[in-house]
Parts: sequence; structure tokens; C-alpha cells
Amino acid sequence: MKNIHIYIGIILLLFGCKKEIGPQSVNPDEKGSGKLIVINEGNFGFGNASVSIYNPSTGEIANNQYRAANGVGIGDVLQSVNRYQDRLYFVVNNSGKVVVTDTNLKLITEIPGFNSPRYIEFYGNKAFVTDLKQKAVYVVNLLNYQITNQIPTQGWTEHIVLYQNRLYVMDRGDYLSNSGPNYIYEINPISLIKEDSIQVGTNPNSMILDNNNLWVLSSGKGTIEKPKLQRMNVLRDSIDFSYTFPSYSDNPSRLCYDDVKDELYFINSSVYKVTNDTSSFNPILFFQKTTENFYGLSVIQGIIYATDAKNYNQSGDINIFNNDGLKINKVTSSIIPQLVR
Amino acid sequence: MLGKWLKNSGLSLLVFSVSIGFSQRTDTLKIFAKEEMLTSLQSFSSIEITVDSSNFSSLDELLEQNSPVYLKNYGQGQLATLSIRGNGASQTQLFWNGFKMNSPTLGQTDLSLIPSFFISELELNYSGGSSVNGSGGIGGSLDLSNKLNWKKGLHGSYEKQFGSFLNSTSRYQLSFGTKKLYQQFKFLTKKGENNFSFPNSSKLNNPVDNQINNKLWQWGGQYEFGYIINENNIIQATAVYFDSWREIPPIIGGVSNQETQEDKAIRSFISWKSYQKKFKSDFRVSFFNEKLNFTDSVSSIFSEVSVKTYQAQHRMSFKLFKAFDVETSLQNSYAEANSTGFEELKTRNEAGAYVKISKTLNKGYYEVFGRQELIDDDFSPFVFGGGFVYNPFKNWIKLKGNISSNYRVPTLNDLYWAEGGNVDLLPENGWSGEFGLVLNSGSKTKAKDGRGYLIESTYSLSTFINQTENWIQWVPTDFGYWSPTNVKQIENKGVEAQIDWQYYSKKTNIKTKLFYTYTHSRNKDFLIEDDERANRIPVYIPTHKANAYFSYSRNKFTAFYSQIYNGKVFIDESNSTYLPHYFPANTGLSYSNKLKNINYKIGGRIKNVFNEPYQVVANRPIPGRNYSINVTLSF
Repeated sequence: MKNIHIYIGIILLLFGCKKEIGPQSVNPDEKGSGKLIVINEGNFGFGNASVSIYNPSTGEIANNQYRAANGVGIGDVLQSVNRYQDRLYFVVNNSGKVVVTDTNLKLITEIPGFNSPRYIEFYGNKAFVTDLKQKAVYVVNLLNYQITNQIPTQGWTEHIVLYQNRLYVMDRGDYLSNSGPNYIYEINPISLIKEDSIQVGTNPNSMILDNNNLWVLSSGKGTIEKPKLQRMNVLRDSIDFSYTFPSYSDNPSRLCYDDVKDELYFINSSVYKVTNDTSSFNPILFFQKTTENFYGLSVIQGIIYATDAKNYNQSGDINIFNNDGLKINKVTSSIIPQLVR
Repeated sequence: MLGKWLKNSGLSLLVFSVSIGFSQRTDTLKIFAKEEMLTSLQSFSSIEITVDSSNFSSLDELLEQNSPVYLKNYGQGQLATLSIRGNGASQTQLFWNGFKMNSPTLGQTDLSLIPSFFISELELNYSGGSSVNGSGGIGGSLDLSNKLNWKKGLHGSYEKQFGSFLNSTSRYQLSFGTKKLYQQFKFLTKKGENNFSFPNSSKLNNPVDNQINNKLWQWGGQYEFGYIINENNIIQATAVYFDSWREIPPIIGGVSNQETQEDKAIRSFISWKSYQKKFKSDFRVSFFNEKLNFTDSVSSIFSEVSVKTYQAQHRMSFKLFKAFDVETSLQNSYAEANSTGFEELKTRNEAGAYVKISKTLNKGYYEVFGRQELIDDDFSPFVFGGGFVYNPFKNWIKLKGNISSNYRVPTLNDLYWAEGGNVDLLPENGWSGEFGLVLNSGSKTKAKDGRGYLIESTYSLSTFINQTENWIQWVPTDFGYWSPTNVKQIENKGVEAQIDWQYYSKKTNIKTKLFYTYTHSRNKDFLIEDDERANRIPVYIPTHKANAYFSYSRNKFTAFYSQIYNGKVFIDESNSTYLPHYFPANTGLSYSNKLKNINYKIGGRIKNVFNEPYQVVANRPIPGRNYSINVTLSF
């Protein structure tokens, strides 16, 4: 009879433990102390996107911080994050949602109902969310976190920036054919009306603002159009400078701006930079890649963060440089690190 | 003559341990019709599973209950693949009546597209390089076959199953046999809503959600034919058509793109077996026509793959110098594939020659084999292997060992996908070895009043090792697309333990099967030095896997219980994220009897009895407790 108690004990052990369901992380690190948010896209369909926190003063990274704060993963394919009025807005692409947290990553609410959201920008009590498939920019009321409007566009809307009461939205056209032509729309965030559209190079992939200029980097098209880096004067809404890359096989992306040295950075297999001087505009190699698979690039206060997604199914690295080109740190993040903010 | 030949051939006695009456030659031939000229390798681990379709078990359930393999299941009605001894689905080769059935484009077979109703026997070879039918199964292979169940007169059956989530299956079977001719027709329809509820692991506190976009609709028919030409020759043919349409649900927390997939396949073969004084031969040809249509209406993605495969084989077995048993096979396979991912029609021709020589000794048996294939214009690596069985004390203890090499050629997608296809890929090649011990014991009592019983038990323990080089994996390139490369080496070592215990008496039959596998699987030698993935566990390979199956029959009742334990699996190559272990159980009860000339069977099953929430593949939920009832009528 004694044996029976042992068996019952074993059965209770097997069934009684609190059950983990779904993907889990081996190391939900202790709470990080830093201020910089690192987003790790995760694999499409795996739901293993995550958020890390990097502390530039100690050089330490803490991974899986959203799960550590909330007990669940953030979703499937974490595309971008933006900060607004003490809130963080995480755009979770394949979960069709925007996750709103406080600055400690504690969940406040989720805004559902997007098709395939990409980036978010703000004006007043409104948020504007671009989308891969919806052919529109969503307008969200931040008072009740409801989608209120959609501003129709030609196709895939990607990057979005606010400049002096005007939104600039990149339209990448049909996301399957990538055939162009492509435009940057100027949208009035109050009336929600498209006030202007400026044609740019085919397949634009990233854009940044310097003082009065919007720089747009486009991938071009096969052997028909070479990649381009174009400058648009936002006061006059016209392209006043264009640099064409030497080869059709160039694949520049992830344009960033260092306001400390007034320089532009981008990835073209390796990391490149170019001084913001149109009289002698010549991109130079900033860091030569060896085995890295540079995937994301961010520049914050003169520090360059180049993420290495490796083979996309393993923990990636973040390579950190000062703007003189000296590598100052390398930390291991999670699956597909993409952006530091 | 046949009787004499049968007596001389120890080999066929190994295959048929049942006693056969020789009085009627045609009957013997009917049984021969089930025989294969290429017999499995005796010194390699394999499991034979007879499919009893009236149990309504799917192919993956049968494998889960009767073997130690790991099944990767994307959810009810969705993609299901198997992996053996630390290898992946692509390293598992499936054969249909001796013909390779892994898709030449994708390199895998989806088990959910093969109804067990259309198969009569499964043989799982889970030693690397063990298939006599062909190369490719670095991890192992699964042979599906149709063996004629020759019955005279008119017979038929009707089976119906209803299950949770509006699942229903109907099956019809009709056969007609004479002394010389046998024909059988089967027809099947299956549908389900599969809108089960599951805990949403992507949300706080896991609220219950319902699965969406997960309907299934399948139908198919099969025709089988056997004809005895004369006392030495028999013809057998099978043709099957199967059409499967299913929706593909979003991942947990994802947005549905209303994806659907339709798979249509015709598979057919005809075989002519001839039994001559000095040799036996089997000439067979087959034709497959397979189509896959995938649509994602939200993203406007419509992709189509269609493959036609023509295959022919000539198999022989004979005695050499009156001492050795020799089996040979010559084969050729030609495939034409069209895919939205290819720029043009792609073709592949595989020609191969195989020979196996074996000898049965007083206290054992040994065998050696070799295979050479020519793929298009290139000779593949020569594959060889050999093994022994040693039984020093009659049959109660058996030692087995073997070693073999194998390889797998890149798929057509690996070579030609636009963009990314890499025509310079090398085949994956590897070797494997195995050593094991099998103990058989039995006890028997005879009593005149019918209270006698028989107990049979088998205990086996084996260790294995296999290594594969030039493992093919799609990796990102500098040009924005992915491309397959020979990235690494994988090494698997492990131990398998198995206990089979059966009790028979006049009224009672008890069966117990226990399996446990420990797999030490590691990634080795990447192209990049000091790659942090080295010595980590490959994705979706459980270190621990165990399963148990119990059945108890008394009089006309049968009950079963099956239990699975699957240890945690990593889902990324740095081993930083994983899926937790799961421990689901199934049970069922059936009653069979006869009413006048009609046999009937009524049964019910409960799957996932303890309502365990789990995922086999990340964010693809498996239903909780669910029920089905079924009835079979046959005459």
C-alpha cells in the first residue's frame, strides 16, 4: 500500500506543476537598468519577438525584458518602436497590433485591428500607423486607443516622420511586385488630407530628417534603376540632390543620421557613412563586414549600433561603435535584433 | 515446385512465420503476392505496423503509438512530418510500394496527406541508410505498402466516424475475388471545421480563443487489382487519387491571411512478379502526378507546384553458389517539376543499382549491401553497409550490429529556386552505426479446458550514432534573398529501449508497448569559426522521448490507452528559446460482434484525455480533450 502513495505522488507531480504553454525563453534576464530599447524581430510565425534593454554606461544588455515585465511574449515580428509622452509604442507586425507600455515596459494596453502594421508617429492626441498590406495609414485616437480613420494610399506605407505639423509618409507601392513609381506623401495630421506627393527612386526603404531635409534611400529596381540616395528640401517639397550608387548590385538600406557630426550612415553589406556635404558627396566604408549579417542600424548621440542577425534563427549581436569608427562594445541580444532606440 | 522452393529458401520463411498450406498453388501465390523481392535488412532496426483502418488512427497516430520516432505536428489536419534519431523531416525518406514519394521539390512528405485507409502495411526503418528501396533516408525511412488481402467472393464495408469540431469521415470498401482475380475499391471523404478552443499563450493570463481558418475537406478513391496469370506469375496494381483542401490557420496571436492549400495526387503502380526455379523477379513501374496550390488571398499570393514522376524497377532474388542469398534491384526515376518558384520546367533523372548479399548461419546471419546511383550526369557517392545478427542461445538472446553510409541529394528547390537556388550544393552525406541486444522470452501453458495462455515478451536495447556532413540549410545572403548552403555537420548519439509484452488466452489479449529514446544531438563544425551554435542542440529535436501503449481485449470488448512524453525542444539555434515538454494521452473503447452476416464494430475515443494545452510547433495549438465515435459495418 505504501507504493500507492508514491505513485499518487508521482502522478500529482506530473500533472500538478504549473504548465508552461508555448514558446519560452531560457533566460528571462533580471531587470535591466539601461535606457535604450533594443527590439528583436523574432522569426516570422514563431512568436519569439522580444525586447532587450541596453545600458550604454555599463555596456550591459538584459534580454527578454518585455516578458520579464509582463509574463508573456510581445508577439510575432516586432517591427518598430517609438516613444511619445512617457509611453512606448511597439508595432508588432504579424500580430496586427500596437503594444503600449510605460517606460518600464509594463503593459498598458494593446491596440488591435491592424492588417500588417510597420511604423508609428504621433501628433497631438493621434497616432499614425503605416501598414504593409492595407494601402492606408491608420489613425488612432490616443485617448481611447481606437482606430478612428484610414488615410488611403497607393500601396505599402512604411516610414513616417513628423516635421513641423506635417507628416511625411513613404509609399513603397505594391509590396509584391515592387514595380514603382513610389512617392513620399505629405499629410496634414489635423485634416488627414494628403496635401502633396513627391516621386522618389523606386523601392524606397528608409528615410531620415536632418535639419530641413528629408533624405530618402531607395533600392532601385533590378538592372533598370540603380539605388539612390535623394535629398528633399522639406520647405520646398522638391528633390534638390540625388546620389546614384555605382552598381545595380548595391543594396543600401537602413539610412540613419548622426546629428553630432552631421553624417549619414547606411548598410550596404558593410556599414558606410557619408558626410552631409552635397558638394563632395562620397560614401566611405565605416566598418568592413567579415562574417556578420548586418541587419539593422541605429545612431544615438554619436554612437552607432549595427545589429548582426546572423542566420536569423540564433541570438544576434549588436556591434557598437563611436562615430570615429572605433568598436567600443559587442553584446548578444535575442533573435533578429533590428533597432535600438 | 513452389513448395520445394519455399522449403529451400530460408529467407521466405523469415518473412512468413505463419504456416502455409501448400495444397493449392493459387492460394500460395496469393500469399506470395504480399512478398517483396527486396527484404528488409535483418541487422538494422525496423518496426512493422499492420494498419487496421477500423481503428480510425491516422498515420501519425499509428507511428506515435508503435514506434520511437518524433512527430512534428502543426495542428489538427495540418502538416505532420516525422524525424528519426535526431535527423529532420527532409532526412526521412518515404516510399510508396517501393517508390520514393518525398516531393522532389520540397524534399519532404506530409503525413496528413496519406490516409491510413489506403495503406495496408507500414515499415519504419530507423537506422540510417537502411532502406532497400533507395537513398535519401539519412535518418531513416518509412515504407508504405499495399498488400492484397485476397478474399474470395463479394465483400464490402462501410465505416463512419463523427468527432469533435464537426469532424466526420466516411469510408466505403468493396472487393470481389475469384481464384485468379481480385479487385478492391475504396472511397473516402473527410471534413472538419476544427474550430477548437485553446489557451492563447500570446496574451496575458492565456485567455481561451477559438482557432479560425482551419477547415478541412478531403476525398479520394483507390483501386487495387491482382491477377494470377499462371502458377508462376502474378500481376498486382494499385491506383489512388487523393484530393485534400485545407485552410491554414494563423499562428497564435497572428492575423489570418485566409491561407488555403490544396494538394491533389495520383499515385499508381503495377507489378509483375514471377517465380522461377532459379530466381524470383519483380518488375514494377509507377506514375505519380502531384499538384499543390497555395493561396494567400490577403497578400494575393498564388503559388503552384506540379510534379510528374515516372519510375521503373526490376528486383530479383536468387541463390548464389547455393550458399548466399542475393537480392538485386535496378531502378530509374524521372521527375518533371513546374513551380512558380522556378524559371522553367526542371527535371531530374535518378538511376540506381542495388545489391545485397546475405547468409544465414547456424547461430546467426550476416549481410552486406551496396548502392550506386547516377543523378542526371553525376555519379552519387557509393553507398554501402553491412551488419550481423548473432543468436548464441537459440532465439532468446540476439545481438545485432551494423554500419552503413548514406547521402541525400539537394532538392529541386535547393538547386533551382529563383532567386537563391544554388546549383553548386553538395549532397548531404553521412554514416551511421548501431549495436543492440534483443531478448525474447515466452511462456505457454496448455490446458484442455481452454484456460491455457501464452505470454510473449521482447526487450530490446540499442545504441546508435550517426553523423551527417554538408547539412543543407537556407541562409541569408548579401543580396536580400536566402540561399541554401552546406553549412554544418550534425552528430547524433543515443540509446533506445523498447519493451513489448503480450498475453493471449482464449478470451483475453493484453498488449503493452513501451519505448524510450535518448538522443544526444549536436551541431558541429560550422563554416564560421567559433560559431556560438556549435555544440548546441538542433531545433525541434527532443533529447527525451517516451511513449507507452496498452490495450486490453476481453470477449468482444477492446480498450486502449496511449501515453506520450515528449521532452522540451529548442526553437532557435542558440538554444535561447524552447517549447516545453508535453505529456498527452489518448484512450478508447470498442465493441465488435456479428449480426447474421454483418460484422459490426462500435467504438469511441478520447484524445488528449487530460486536456493538456500544448504545442508541438511554436504557436500552433493542439486541441484539448476531444471525442469521436465510429461504427464499422462489413460483410
